[in-house]
Amino acid sequence: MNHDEQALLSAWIDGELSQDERARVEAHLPGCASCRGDLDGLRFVKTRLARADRRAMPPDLIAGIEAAVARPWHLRWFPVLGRSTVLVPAGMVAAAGLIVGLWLGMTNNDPDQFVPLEPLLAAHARYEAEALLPEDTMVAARYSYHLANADGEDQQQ
Amino acid sequence: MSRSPEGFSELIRKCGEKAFNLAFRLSGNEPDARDLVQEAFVRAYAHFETYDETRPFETWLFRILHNVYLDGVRRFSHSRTVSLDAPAPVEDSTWEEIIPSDDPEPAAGMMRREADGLLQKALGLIPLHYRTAVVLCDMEGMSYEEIGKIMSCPVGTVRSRIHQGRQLLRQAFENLERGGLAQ
Repeated sequence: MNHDEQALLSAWIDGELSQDERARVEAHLPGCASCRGDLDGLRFVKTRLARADRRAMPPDLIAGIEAAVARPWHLRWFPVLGRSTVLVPAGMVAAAGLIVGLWLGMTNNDPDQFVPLEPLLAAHARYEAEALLPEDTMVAARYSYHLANADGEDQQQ
Repeated sequence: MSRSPEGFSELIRKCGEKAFNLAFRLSGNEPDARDLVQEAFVRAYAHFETYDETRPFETWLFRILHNVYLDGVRRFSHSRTVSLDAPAPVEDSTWEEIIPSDDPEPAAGMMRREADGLLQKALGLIPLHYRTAVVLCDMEGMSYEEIGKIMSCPVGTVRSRIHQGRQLLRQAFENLERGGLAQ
């Protein structure tokens, strides 16, 4: 007995088969008690679902959705922004402080703030001891001064 | 159809009922169904320019709702319902006495609620893809082609999900009716 038709039974109930498939199922059913039994079970489920109570949409939900879509986009996606009169302003002040702090940190060009002096001084002392160069060619300890002098010497040469 | 809040209100009223029923049957409880429907409508409004107005709005909305549910399936899959067989919070009383009913025939209403509870419990026992396909077909009366668009899958897949879903539901009903609603 061929039971390939069993897999087509739901679509047959729903009228979703092609003409050929429908003819196959209808030719198979009279001779197959197993498929007829399955068909009863499938119809029972379909009927039970179709007759189930429908859940009514709560009226306040409609109003809630209308209010949600009428809100500005930033409140739609981040509703927390509209909930607090204390935390949100405090958070905004903290964020502004952080931005200003970062900006000040990035625009501070004082080389003493960025160039570690200790290793430079150590390197200078080592250079002075090992290079055996005349005193007047010695570069200053400050890195920026050294660079300025080096540029000047290059230009003179 | 416009994207203005007024024009959109018309769509909420037209499709909200079906969307809420689908959301309830997927999530199994009212609070999650409310969240699901609201989020689906808000997303639909935000992306309204991508809606093809030659197709039914309902199919597009259901597709969004289904995606919202899949995105938050952990958040929406817990049950916030209380069994009517659980102990009532007030001594010597039952849930039926505590929950007000406007049903003129309380016994019939109770039976209907019990049958609905059994149905929802059975739906909750089958995998999500089967549940969605069967609910869209048998409760919302949608065609296999529409269901395929909502679930982003071919019609052949819809056919097999509906068939297997009904078979699993039948088994679930049998098991629940044998074991009783209390288990």
